[in-house]
Amino acid sequence: MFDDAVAVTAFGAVTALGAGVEALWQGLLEGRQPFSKVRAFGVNGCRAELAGEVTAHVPLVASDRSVGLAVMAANEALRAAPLQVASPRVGLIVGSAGAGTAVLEQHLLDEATAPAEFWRRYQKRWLADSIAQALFIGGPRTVVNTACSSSAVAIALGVEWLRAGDCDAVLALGTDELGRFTYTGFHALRAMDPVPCKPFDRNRAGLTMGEGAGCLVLQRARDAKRSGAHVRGWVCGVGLACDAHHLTAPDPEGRGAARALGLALAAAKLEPAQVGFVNAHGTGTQLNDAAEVASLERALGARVVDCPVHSIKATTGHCMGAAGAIEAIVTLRSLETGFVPPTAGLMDCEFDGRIHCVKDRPMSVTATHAVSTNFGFGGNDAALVFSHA
Amino acid sequence: MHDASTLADPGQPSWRVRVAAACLIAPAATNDPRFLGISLDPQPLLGPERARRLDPLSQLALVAVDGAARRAGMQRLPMHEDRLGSGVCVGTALGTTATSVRYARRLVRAGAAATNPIDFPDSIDGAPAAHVAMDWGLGGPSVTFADGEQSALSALVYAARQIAWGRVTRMVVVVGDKLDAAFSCALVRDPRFLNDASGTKFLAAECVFALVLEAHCEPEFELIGFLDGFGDPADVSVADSPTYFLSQDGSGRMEVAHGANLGGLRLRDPSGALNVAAAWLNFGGPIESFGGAIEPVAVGPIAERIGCGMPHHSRLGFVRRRRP
Repeated sequence: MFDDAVAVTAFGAVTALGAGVEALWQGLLEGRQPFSKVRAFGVNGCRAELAGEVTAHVPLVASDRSVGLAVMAANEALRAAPLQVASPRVGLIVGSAGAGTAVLEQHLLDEATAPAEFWRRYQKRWLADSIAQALFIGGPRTVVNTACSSSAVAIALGVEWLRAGDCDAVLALGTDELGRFTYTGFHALRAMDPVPCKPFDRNRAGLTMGEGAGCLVLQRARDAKRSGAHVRGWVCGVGLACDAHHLTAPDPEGRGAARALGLALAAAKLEPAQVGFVNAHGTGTQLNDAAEVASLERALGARVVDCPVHSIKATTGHCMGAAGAIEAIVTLRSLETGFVPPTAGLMDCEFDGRIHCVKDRPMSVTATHAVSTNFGFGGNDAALVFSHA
Repeated sequence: MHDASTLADPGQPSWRVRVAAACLIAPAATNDPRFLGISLDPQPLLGPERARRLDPLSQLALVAVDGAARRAGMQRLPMHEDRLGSGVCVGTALGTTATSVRYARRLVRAGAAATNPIDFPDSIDGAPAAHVAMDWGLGGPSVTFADGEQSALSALVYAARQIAWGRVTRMVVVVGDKLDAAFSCALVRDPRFLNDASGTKFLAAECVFALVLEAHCEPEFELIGFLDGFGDPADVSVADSPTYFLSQDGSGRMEVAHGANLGGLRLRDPSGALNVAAAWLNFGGPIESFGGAIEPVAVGPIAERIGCGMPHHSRLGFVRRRRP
């Protein structure tokens, strides 16, 4: 059942680097850091004041910014994919970590006048319903929340839906707006860097938050070939695991993350030596980056020393539940173009000699396969293996 | 009685897993007819400190899993080689509402400086799954579906497929919701949940239901029940599913029945967990239960198959298999 890869036939994204995948890609190659003081809400009392906000016009669909971001990304993908989205065979899977928190804050500000439907809007399912309604998607839909690995899990679930025959095409989508709830939460955890984050740097001091959305159109290989769709890449393996270690801190030995990566490689029938590069979760927190390096050493063995590793979070910000989808798209663009964007902000890599971090400028690679990893609170570990079309 | 065997070709299920054990924390009748909440103190299991700190949904998930896992013969372990192939899947419509409300209330009233670093990570919907995974040393996938009234069935389908496809050997599934007071107030303003003695509308209720799913057993063992994936996308109305009722005789008795409304007040929970629990109870599935007394009614001869509708990609049924 799991022998054939799933085709990615289109994608779309919106981030602080701009609307559209090309704006994202060019910004990454240039190492732009589009961070500024948060405009969406007050950040008084927070250690950090920066974030990567989307400055492009976001349509207010269903009175919700996360839905608007999702619709932007999905529309870009659907312009490139000739799908009859109203078909009951086209599904939608949304990964989101922070949806509903803004409406909760609104409700608590004025409980007496909160609309009766607010509790439905608070539910993350409402996100999928609103996106499906806006895009006229006629098939099954669901929402997964595994914190910052949510949309990587959405992609993994999309692969399952296709392989099980539930759908003929799936929009795997991640979306999260910059919200005060989550921003202050990371502040409370002292996990934010006051200056733009520096993944894998010796002087890293935390993450920088972002917002955005990413959408991938997934189809079975035979359907993509039959319809003549332009295959942008393949999802060849997925692996999910749990640290079962701590609610917020990763297993310092990276065992769960390594297990997820090992499962994904096994599903793709690949050896570590065949991994062309790794798009790391790379948040810029002390604990995440150290655990991630440990997991790469554990999973990739001897290959880890010269396998290019990069993180995009110092350019997009950490887009929470949307990170997995956005980073999957970047991984596919790297496979298409043969360039791995640099890890912005990285000056003095703490892990030199253990991993090969891409910094300063894009690295030219000849890669057929690549890995994208995402991790979330609760010890959620997700690894996706992509291959060049 | 509705015979769910008509739902699909029983000879060709697309997958099949064993339900090793189940545990239900049921809604209990209260003086407030608009809301049937859980009446259970989790402190005996969790201790006062953990009960104070953890989100109520996480607490109830841990209690329900404890009941099911012990019945399934599982031991509490830290992360262990034996559990790398065991995962957890949660289905919840509202998630960790109480902690989210508590966190947001402090934020709204006193700003960022007043926020609680302990509340924030416990406010994520995936927190209950994380606590279950940590308590039981589950190193397989940990996935949370926040899928409205399909949450329970989405979680069950996902978990069952992981086993059926050979990715894991065991999945702990927890479905349900704990309604915060703020949400209960909003809920009763929703016309779908208004108390309606005609039975055409629903009473809001909460419950938490845990199941331990395992790979298919060898035939020489007694098999308790199954989840079947019929692999047919045809729609089955949730209204046809087994249902939980509050008896109308004023006794506060809970009843479970399948098919038509027998005259009681029909309970409805945000995640659809009660439908799944009712199917299991109506099937006669062995269960550890807490909370209100439950009385299956109109069971009659136990149906060979009892189904639950899932509006999209699969349908579920419990199927009895007897000792060979």
